[in-house]
Amino acid sequence: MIDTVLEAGDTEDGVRPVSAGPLLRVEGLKVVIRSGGRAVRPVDGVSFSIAAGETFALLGESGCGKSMTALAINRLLPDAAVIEGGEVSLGGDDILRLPETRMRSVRGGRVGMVFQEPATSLNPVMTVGAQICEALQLHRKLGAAAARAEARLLLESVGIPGADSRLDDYPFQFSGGMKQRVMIAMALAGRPELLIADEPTTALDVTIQAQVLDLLAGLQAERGMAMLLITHDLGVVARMAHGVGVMYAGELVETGPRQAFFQTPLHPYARKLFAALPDGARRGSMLDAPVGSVPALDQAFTGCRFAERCAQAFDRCDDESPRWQQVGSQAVRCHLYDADSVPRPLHRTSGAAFGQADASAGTPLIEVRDLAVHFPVRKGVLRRVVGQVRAVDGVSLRLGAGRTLALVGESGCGKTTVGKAILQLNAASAGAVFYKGENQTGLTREALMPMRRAVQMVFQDPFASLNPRLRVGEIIEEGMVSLGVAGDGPSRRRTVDALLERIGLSASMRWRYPHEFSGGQRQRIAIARALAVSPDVIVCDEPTSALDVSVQAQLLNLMRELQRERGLAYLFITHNLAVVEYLADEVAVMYLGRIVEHGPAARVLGAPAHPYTRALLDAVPKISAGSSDSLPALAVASDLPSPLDPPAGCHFHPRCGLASDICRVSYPAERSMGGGHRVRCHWADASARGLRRPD
Amino acid sequence: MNTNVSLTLPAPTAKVEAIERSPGFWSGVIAKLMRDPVALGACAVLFALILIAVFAHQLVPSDPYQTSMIKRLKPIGFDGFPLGTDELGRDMLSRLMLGTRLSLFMGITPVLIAFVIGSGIGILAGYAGGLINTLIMRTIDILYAFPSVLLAIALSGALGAGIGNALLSLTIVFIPQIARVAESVTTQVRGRDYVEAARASGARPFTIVRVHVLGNVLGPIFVFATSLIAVSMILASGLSFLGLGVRPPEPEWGLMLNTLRTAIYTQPWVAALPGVMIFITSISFNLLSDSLRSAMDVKS
Repeated sequence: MIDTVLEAGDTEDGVRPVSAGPLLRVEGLKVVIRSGGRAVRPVDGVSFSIAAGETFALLGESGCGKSMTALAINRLLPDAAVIEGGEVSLGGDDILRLPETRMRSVRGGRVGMVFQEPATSLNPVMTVGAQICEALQLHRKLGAAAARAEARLLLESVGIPGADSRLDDYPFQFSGGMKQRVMIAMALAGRPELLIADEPTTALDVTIQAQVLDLLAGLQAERGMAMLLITHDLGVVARMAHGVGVMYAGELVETGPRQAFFQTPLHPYARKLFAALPDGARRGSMLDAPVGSVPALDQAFTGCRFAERCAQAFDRCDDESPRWQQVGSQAVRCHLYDADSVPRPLHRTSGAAFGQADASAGTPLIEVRDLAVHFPVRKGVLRRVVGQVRAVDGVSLRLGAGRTLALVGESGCGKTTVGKAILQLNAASAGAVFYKGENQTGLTREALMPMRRAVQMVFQDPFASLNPRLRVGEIIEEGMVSLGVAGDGPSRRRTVDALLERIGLSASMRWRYPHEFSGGQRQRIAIARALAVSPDVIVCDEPTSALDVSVQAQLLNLMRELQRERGLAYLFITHNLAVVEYLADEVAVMYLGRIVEHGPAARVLGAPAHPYTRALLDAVPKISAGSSDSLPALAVASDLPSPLDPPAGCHFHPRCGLASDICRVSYPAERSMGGGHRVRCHWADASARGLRRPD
Repeated sequence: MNTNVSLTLPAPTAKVEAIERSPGFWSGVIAKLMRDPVALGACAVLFALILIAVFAHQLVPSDPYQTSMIKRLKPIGFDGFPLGTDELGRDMLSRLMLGTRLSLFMGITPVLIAFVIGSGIGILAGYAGGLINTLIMRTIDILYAFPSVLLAIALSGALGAGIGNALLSLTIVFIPQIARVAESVTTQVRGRDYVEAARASGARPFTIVRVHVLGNVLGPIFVFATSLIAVSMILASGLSFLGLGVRPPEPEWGLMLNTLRTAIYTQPWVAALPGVMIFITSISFNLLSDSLRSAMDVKS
């Protein structure tokens, strides 16, 4: 267990571990980045320690200094960054004072590292075997043949099937999850005592995330490694960590064992992180998002760094930086727990309730009937069609006015293509899309105008969806000009001003360029652009997946409010089931181009009938104090098959624990589970009866 | 600051809004260039060259066409001829100054014309995609297959000597190069979400190209074209050197280099002067295009 016992009123940065010998000890670590006369301090006095065999999670939003802390431990900081002070000791060695030559044997040898983006962490022109062998020859001084044999064992230990033949494959021949496994194998090559995992599963689908987390936990137990896990995901922390440290604006603000932290998070910031999480229990109420964002780190702080965003801040918080306070097994830097301060009761603030949105089913605004989008695969000089990528293969959906329909599935299942096909941005190969009963497929640009006025889209990546050369005002105005709504210039400008005020920016921001805004603000601008033509429906393609949890909460609140005010219908394309539980009226689960389960959110998520839906739900790490590291009841093995060549019979059968002969031969027909809940599975009844989600 | 938009604002708020307004893209680029000593130096050199070119007839110290058999091939610093004389006894300084005109003209004009035509072709191919793209780009590739020097010589040779034909052949040489760059940048931009968003709000293809594509592709193409100016000057000099471009007695640096080559053993420094001018000018254009490239690199 990580030792976080400390005396109240200790020195400035005084976490003093009493434990006999932690493997990694970080004391008062400070990193400064100097550029053009400004000094930014991304890590400002961070202290923690990790014992062998333990996992310590650094938790916080982006820009809090988590990754910088990890890089500083490895002395891999970018050129402009300098370690200004503090101590890092690894098994008794003072890392910050080791000569660079010895540091090289520490990196990749005693300390292994796994990065967030497996796609860019592997060298694309080297086989994975060569990359692993390189590490083995360097750190373990193995010969070529021995290294290859060891590499094969490593690939096997990270669960890559057919390890022997896959050694000679290149990174592009692996899926994202498999690449991350290769990265882990490389990190293990030097037999590290400490494994640093920097957001190891953030870029992965939830089913793959579950596999990778299990793998990491298993390997850690097996090898007795210490692990520093950097994440913004409370679910991942709950599943993996023994100890937790919450980072905010370059400082640790709370540390403690997982159990205690999840039962009673102490610091107001940690509480906000919990309150900002969307889930089914908060349906119909506002998410309690912390206002604003992480402060710029180039200033000298006098008071508590969280004070300006803290609802419980009082005068002392502005004047005096809080010291560590011991509360039970946890330590927190907050004046609220100081005996000198006036004690105040702390409540988890409950969000203001919303009025219930119009729940009537209504006439469908959008109806999709047997939609198929196939992309031909061409080969050879004559560009002959040699196959079809069946991105969407027979999808039917109905979306009523004022309703929210969530389209859920792993990446690559075709959900974005459905969204774009509804907007006629992709041509349908078969089937039809109706808006208010009118077929929209194959219409000319002019004939599509009524639909364009009513159906708008918000894209996933707020950095790619706004033209960098246009001012915000021009971006929002564009749709109004193209569609000839909102009248003449001055009246359009008034609309833009009103929209900017509505989404929480000021009207004067119309003159700015997109790059001057943060990700969350850009996504608001994208929503304003969609709203400018007063649509009935907005297709939202993973609008919050690129955002931090607190920013996501702000955005979801805004979207709920707008839905209530304007009676908007949302088609919400996402892989985040927590968001679905929070927001959706209906859920459609998509697998390899087809809807496999469809129905009211409460029924689909509460009593999932399809094994795939259940696997998706089980793969979400649960956030509860008592959550154990046990495997979920029905984990999905392996990856999503290629839509170029879907498996025969039920597409899901190769990954399904219930699959039998019939599943391998015939695609299941749709059957009703009552209450509008429909599913395509041969085992729907059995699955719903006997294998209900355990909760 | 761009005032034409501010003018349409209601008068009382105009001032406040103007303060909140971020500088435009191009004024940002200019501001960055102003802080870049290399770019400023290159600009100063080019500006001086342009001034010399425009006012050459007023500035020349003596008649650049005046020959003299007794004062042939005098060294640098010779009395009355600060940069010496050429093989016909003409004042080198005056000829170099007047030569700036034709050399700059031959450097800039073909690139400018090719920039307009090549960008048009490239953007059309990139935005249209599919079969149209294949047809246009494969045709372009055929021209691209010839080395540019060879193509320029072959075209000039076929069309006959003279400034007009040299310009034409140089333009033809540069069009495929610019079209290639334009096509690849346009193809990238076309796939961006903001173009999809514009389509989703019913914008016409022409509007999308004008607002979303042009704004984002012209910068990179412009940078590339700037770097071509130096190439164009050198190629034009080469054509004149071969007798396919400017004809004597008009002063042009490439042609001067050609006629002075016989004097390389008697007056090497004088003979090298036109080459020095070509070098200074082309390196200025290259440095400017490098600075432009980094100045236009908007962080996003």
